[in-house]
Amino acid sequence: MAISIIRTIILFTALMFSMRIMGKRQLGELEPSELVVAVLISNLASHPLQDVGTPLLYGLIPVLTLLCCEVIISGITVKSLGFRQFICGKPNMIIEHGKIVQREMKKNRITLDELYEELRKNGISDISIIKYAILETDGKLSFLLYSAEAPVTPKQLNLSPPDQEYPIIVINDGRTLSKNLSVLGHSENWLNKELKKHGVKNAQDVYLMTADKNGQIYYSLKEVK
Amino acid sequence: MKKELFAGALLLTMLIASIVNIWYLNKLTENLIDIVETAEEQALSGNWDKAEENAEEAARIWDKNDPYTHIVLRHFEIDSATDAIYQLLNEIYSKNEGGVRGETKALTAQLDSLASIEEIKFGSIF
Repeated sequence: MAISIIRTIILFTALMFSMRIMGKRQLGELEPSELVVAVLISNLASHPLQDVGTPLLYGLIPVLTLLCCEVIISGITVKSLGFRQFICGKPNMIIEHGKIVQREMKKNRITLDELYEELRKNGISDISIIKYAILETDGKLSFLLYSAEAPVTPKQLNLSPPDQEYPIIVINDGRTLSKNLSVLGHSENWLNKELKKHGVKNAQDVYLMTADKNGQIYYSLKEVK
Repeated sequence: MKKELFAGALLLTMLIASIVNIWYLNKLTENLIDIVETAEEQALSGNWDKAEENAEEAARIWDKNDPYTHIVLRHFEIDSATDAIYQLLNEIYSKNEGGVRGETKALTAQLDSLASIEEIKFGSIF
């Protein structure tokens, strides 16, 4: 048991540093410690499942040890900025004022093809419109466009459109969700009236219906078989 | 912060439990080795009845600890030790001095290795 705990801690640390050294491009949405736990946990759990001759503790103890390591490390990273930078690294500027920072490209081992792939995914065709492109600690690229190239906001046009409310599902595959109706401050009577208004006889005929606090309604009828 | 404290406490509890496990396993195997070596001495001095009693006592203790050993040891290790105990008993019942010598050595080595696998040593970790 003690050997399992010590081995897990050593492997967790070794893998985490390997991921950290491999760089951000290997991560893809996860922090190094999260990725290590994700990679290890399924293998650890499957071993005692496949081999009934291995006590369950041989799978449970490393899984619990990993869980403890991850919770402790993520807790320390929240408290200490220095430790967070040590574990997760720092964001890197890949494009600055429309210019590719080649030193950072090399350091993070990002090819031009990969950079252009990210640009295309974000609907950007011209590097010169980018003020900053930042490689985040989870391996994702964030783009900040020059103000002149950024989409116009209603505020810039001196417009004040009404705030959007979050739509809540009130009918799910023919079933009326009374709890959600009461969250909106409505009753089933209101729902029936709304359905009649839209020419729907029965809630059971509706596949999806959503409503928000502004009274905005969306509905889709069930397909006739 | 509560989660982190809980994780730290859980890790500490597991470490303490594993140290208690090492202590208990050592005690169990040392006790069994003592009994088995006594059985060997008695067998070699021709006191076969006493040797039988001791070997049966060793088998009884090992069987009594079955729930514990099945939780903390790999089952093939348990099976090997069980086989070695009953092999020794067989040699004692057959009054075979050479066999008793060999089987005692095999069993004590087996029990020693059970305890040493769990001990926190550089070799066990790596």
